[in-house]
Amino acid sequence: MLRSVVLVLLLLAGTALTGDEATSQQESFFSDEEKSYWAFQPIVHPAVPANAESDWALNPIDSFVLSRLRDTGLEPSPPASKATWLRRVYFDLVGLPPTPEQIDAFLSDTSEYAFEKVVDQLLASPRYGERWGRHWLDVVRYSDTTGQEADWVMRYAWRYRDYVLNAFNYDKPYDQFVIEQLAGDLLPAEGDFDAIAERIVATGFLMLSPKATAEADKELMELDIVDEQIDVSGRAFLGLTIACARCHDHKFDPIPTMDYYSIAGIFRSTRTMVDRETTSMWSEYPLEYVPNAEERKQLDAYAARIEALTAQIAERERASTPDQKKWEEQLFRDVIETFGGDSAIAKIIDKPFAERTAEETAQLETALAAADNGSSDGLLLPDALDGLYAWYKIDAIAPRDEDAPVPAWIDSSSNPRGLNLMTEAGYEPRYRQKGYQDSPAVHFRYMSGLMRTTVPLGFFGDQNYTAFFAVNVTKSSFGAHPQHQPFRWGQANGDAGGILLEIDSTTTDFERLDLATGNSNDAHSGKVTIGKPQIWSVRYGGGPIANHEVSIDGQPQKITPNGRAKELRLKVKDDELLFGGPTGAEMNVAEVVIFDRKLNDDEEQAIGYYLQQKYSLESEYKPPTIARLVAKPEEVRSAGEKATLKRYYLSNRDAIYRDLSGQLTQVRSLKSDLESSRPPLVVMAVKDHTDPKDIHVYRRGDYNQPREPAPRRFLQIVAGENHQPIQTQGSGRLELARWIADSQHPLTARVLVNRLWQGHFDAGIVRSSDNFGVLGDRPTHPQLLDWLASRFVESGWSMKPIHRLIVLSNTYRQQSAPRADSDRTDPENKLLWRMPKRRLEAEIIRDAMLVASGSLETGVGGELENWWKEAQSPVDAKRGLIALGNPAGDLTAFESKRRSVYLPVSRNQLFEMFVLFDYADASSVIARRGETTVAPQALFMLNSRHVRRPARDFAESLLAARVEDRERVHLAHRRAFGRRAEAAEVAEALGFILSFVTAKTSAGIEAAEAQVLAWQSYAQVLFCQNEFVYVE
Amino acid sequence: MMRSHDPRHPTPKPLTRREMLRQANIGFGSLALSALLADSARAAAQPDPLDPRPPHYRARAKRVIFLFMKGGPSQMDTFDPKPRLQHDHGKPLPFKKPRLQFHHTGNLFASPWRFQRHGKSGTQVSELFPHIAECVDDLCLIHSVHGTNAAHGGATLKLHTGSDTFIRPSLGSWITYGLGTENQNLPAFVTLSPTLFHGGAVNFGAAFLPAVYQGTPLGHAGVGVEDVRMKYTTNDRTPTSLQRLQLDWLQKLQRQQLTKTGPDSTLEARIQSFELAFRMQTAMPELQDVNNESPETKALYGLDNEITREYGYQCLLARRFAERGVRFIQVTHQKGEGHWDQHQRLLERHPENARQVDKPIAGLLKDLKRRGLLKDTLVLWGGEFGRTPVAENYKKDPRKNGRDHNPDGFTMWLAGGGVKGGFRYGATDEYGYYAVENKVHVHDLHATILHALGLDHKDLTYRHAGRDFRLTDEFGEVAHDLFA
Repeated sequence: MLRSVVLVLLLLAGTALTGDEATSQQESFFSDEEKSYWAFQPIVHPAVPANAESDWALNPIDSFVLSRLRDTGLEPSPPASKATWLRRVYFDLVGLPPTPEQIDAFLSDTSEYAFEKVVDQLLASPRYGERWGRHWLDVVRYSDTTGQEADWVMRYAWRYRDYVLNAFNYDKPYDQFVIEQLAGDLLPAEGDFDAIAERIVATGFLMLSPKATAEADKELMELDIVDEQIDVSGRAFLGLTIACARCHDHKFDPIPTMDYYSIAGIFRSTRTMVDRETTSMWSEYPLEYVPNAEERKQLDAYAARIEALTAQIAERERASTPDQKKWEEQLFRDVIETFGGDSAIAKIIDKPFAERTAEETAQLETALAAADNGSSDGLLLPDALDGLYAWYKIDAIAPRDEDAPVPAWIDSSSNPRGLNLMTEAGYEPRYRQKGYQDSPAVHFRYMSGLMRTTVPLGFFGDQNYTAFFAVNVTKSSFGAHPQHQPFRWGQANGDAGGILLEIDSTTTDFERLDLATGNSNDAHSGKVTIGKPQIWSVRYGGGPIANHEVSIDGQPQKITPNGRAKELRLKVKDDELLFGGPTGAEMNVAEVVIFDRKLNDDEEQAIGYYLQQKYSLESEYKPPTIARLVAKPEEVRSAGEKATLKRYYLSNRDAIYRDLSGQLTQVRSLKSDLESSRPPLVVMAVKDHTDPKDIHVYRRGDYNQPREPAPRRFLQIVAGENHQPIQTQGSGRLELARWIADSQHPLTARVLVNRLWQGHFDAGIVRSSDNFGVLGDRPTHPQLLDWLASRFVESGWSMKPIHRLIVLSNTYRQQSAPRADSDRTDPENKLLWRMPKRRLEAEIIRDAMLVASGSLETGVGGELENWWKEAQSPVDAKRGLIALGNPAGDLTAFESKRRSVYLPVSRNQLFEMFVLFDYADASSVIARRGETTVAPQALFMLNSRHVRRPARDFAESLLAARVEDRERVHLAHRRAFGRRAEAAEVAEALGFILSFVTAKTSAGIEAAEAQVLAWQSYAQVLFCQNEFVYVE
Repeated sequence: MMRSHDPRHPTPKPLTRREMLRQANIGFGSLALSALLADSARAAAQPDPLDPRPPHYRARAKRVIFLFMKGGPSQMDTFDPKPRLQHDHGKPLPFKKPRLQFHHTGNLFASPWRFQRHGKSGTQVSELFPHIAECVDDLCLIHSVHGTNAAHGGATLKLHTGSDTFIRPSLGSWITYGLGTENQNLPAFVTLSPTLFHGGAVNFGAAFLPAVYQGTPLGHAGVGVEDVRMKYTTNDRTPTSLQRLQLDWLQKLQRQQLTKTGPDSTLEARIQSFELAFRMQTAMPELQDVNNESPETKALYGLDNEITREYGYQCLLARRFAERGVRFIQVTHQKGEGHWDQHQRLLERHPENARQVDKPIAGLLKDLKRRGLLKDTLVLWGGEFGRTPVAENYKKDPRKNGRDHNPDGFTMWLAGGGVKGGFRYGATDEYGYYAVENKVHVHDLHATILHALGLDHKDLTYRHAGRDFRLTDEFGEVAHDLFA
């Protein structure tokens, strides 16, 4: 914190410089006027003015406000009614209207603390974070897409949104909030996984930049993103337009170009984009779950137990097993008995091992496997399979023609041998599961038609894997679609590689299986018999894509590498399984099993044989390992084989051993369940570059014209001229963040309390809330601003107490009605002689309609899954990206009844209703929204289904109330406006409904439906009224 | 703070006024109220952000129709004949190709089409556009347009917003911001069948300008506009008579409330907006219904022909919007695979594209002219870039040759709106690759369009993020020679 020390000294000492600041003799870059500009002065804690002869002030805020009013000869307005205050404070703090019950409770509460109770309740509600988090999202240009020429979906942006909402709800100290957003990834990894992950997610703040991903000049692309990051950081945290200094010194504020490039160096040393492909990819990465202390303890206990059991088992394995020899001999005797002493099998047994042909060995193995009754189902899985990883986070495969997802997974805990195939609806799968025998790996329900996974499989980067597919190719529709891809695995297209298995539709008999790498055109083929169920296996151990080993029914297939395909890279974003062509049923998929490494030959045989037995298929998979071992005379068995056979013998013939093994399996299973109880969390977050470094000042912003180097450091006007560069091995982001969040920083606290003030009074104390610079507005109440700022910092940067002070002030309690006298003196109400009247924001209008109609869903956080699906158009399979193209303005996601803050935000196609009502443009920092009144808004209110549908819900819920129509009108008014209808209003409403019903019934509409339509139309009239969309 | 909106006292630099307007919007209630209290007769004088506003200086044009040829038509094959190219066909280009190329290209590729002189001016037009050729004396050809971006996305964004790197307001939104609109019953800025890609809605967006200035799309590429209705102007659930009933009651309630709360011009404005909306509901369907156009007019636009009907209908709508005072109308042509983007099969696909637009565009020009609309309507034609004089080979089959993107020199043309007719401006080199004479950058084109509308591109600014933004960034020179 050297910086802040210097800063404090500088601030205290005025222009005096400390020893290590060697510039005292040099001419200052800044003028005296610049140095003495109000916003750069330290925040002092001003005394609260005493207002003689007035008891109007309820708290210090009022004293400051009243003092300014009286200076100008103004008086505050009388208090608004309790009902008006309640509606105001509800919309302000939680963005929702009070329900009739909440209104009644408050109005009948005459206690001293009635107001406080409401405020505390609202501040504790999760709705508060949804309301105030959204204010912050305006500032940080929140969006779910990249914007620019291709509107790529940023699939993990929502985690940042939820982070913000939570930060507000939990009243995260603002200094911490600042540091986490700029450098959460660089903070020490303290706390449990959630806490660490949350801090990393917070850097989504930097990731949200609009990105010209296809910009050919990649350095320019990076620098433009850096520029945007500087802009948003400067305006959001400091209220300074630092980005204006990219091409020249800031024209108005004391920010030299050197300072711009000092900070640019910090962000240029930060990794936002990860490659320089034609379409560049931004930074997303998985965070592996780390168990918390309690889980760690439990895991350690399991580990100890496993160790003990393993030792006991090993001991038992070391002991001699005299009966094993007898068992083997018995097996041979059984075989001979079964086949007869003169049989071919008996002759094979008699032959010396070396003289047996492969065919004879196979016959003998089969006979031995059949004779052994050691295993209950005849299946012997090699020990090696125990502890394998198998992915199975595919919770649904949806037939493409239908929307209904098909659950594809089951919990195999009820079946210790695993590999269950039946599915249960509602089962929540986990990301991946350790322990093949105890988990079902990837299972597709036996079904036909085209299916695709709806969630990523969980691969990232270069990945070894093995995939098994038990399928039945049906002939029916092959050949109908020249482009069809009946079976696709990974990313099959283009340079990025991938492996494609597809039925070659260009041949006449349509009976070839092409195994291709990278591209379907240069494949080699293997025979596929249409209508005959088969097992395909694909094994890949890394390296060139040609290293894929593919077998069909155990027969290795030859594949030819595509010249362009380099290495296989499977990305978590886009890998998918796709079965079937564009239409029609082509293949039945019985089962898919995917492992996270290349299985060895034995393992492959075992799984293949297992599938073969299960589906009664003909295949080349060899019988179980154990039978093969028994067929070998003891003297030719290797040590490993001897051990395997012994373990098998013990587990089938030794009760104690079996019990120990059972326990071990169980404990391992518990351990692996716990270890994999949380999937890796994929986040969109920055990292530091591996080679952080300073950049130069670029003449006129052109990186081809570098000038003097710009050491990474802070703004000189605040941190001191020529202050020491940041001493760091990293980018310097953490240092920058800490400098901003320093309690002595003259801007950070002022800017934030000003935003809070703006949220309550429609305008900040500094009206230009993102520009505290020379071109910005001067504070209307400078003393109050400083009082709030120092109070804020002293209370540990906690926002809720500031809200509380504001909304419980008498200033906030005033009426909003204009007064001619005051209006002449202060037409803009800068001195707050009344409360401003405000139109609800776009989202709040929508939410209020949902509340009135009783249909708002109040779940907190999370993503609207696959909201982009309908609008997904250009898909860059190579990069694993999804772009919005088809009209996204009408996504069914907007039909959701969740709060508006959870609706997706597409930069290029914002939700039309929101745009009409002055929503924040998601591409730039929006400090304060506009408030326009134009006819298209009225068109929307009159004709959009987004109004008509909640009006219908409203009507239906009104009609469901067992009351007279007269009372129904009151109910409607209470829900829409928070008050009972007046007598004349009731009469008119009933008159309107009668005319409407008459018109509808005479047009042949059934009476009941006419009633609903009439009340719907009436509800819509309520929604349209000024009283509904304005807050007094 | 509050300055007069009286057009008789136009302020020389509307920046301050616009800036004030935005603030007026934000602090709406109190400001307007002060006016109300001071002079109740002025109560109705609401600063509607779409009210018509006077330009900075004398305007030649009142509105713009932009005929956007998505994909990039070839200048050598349409309006920029190059005899030397015809002569050197098959030879290598004797100078350097640009550093950043989009695709690999080969040798010079002569235009497969003949040029002829047309009109009194004798301007040459290729046989691809026989109908437009008839209007050549109204065309002001700019042969030296150039941009910076060789990719569709960047170039399209550059042409529409002036920026290929940041999200910025579109040309149409700047113009409506500058001038408002003359018909409150219709959107101020419409775009017919806009492309959804290559920036999509950003190309008609308002970015940081107030949202009222963004374009209203009608249909989108791939969906004809004939069967599309402007959003929220139709209501199939409530017949007009009942909606009137509903509206009357709504308005009555609103006025009652207003008498209770006292005069408030914000609330008054909102009440008025509902009346206006009701009128818009009839204005749009009326506008889209072309049944009352004469058969001769319909034929003029090619509505009687399957090939030309779709674009013809859009051009006819453009005229109908123009004559009703809509400020900026864009008509995008983007039909079929690759639209005008002939990397291959130039010989086959350029004529197809040309046939679809030739008659409709000529019809629009002729119709505007005979109705006296052309003189104050600026028509702009062109794509996001041109094409290379060198061939892009398709599987070594010369019959399937195409041309690559070329942002370094291409032709766009203007008509009406005070520009010189039968006029050629600027030039590319002798092969048509680079603009070499009187170069007109996309920024210059923007400055020139604003100039035609009486707007100084340096003064049409908006304060955002601490500085004044403008369409032309810090560039742009008006091509004064284009104007008569």
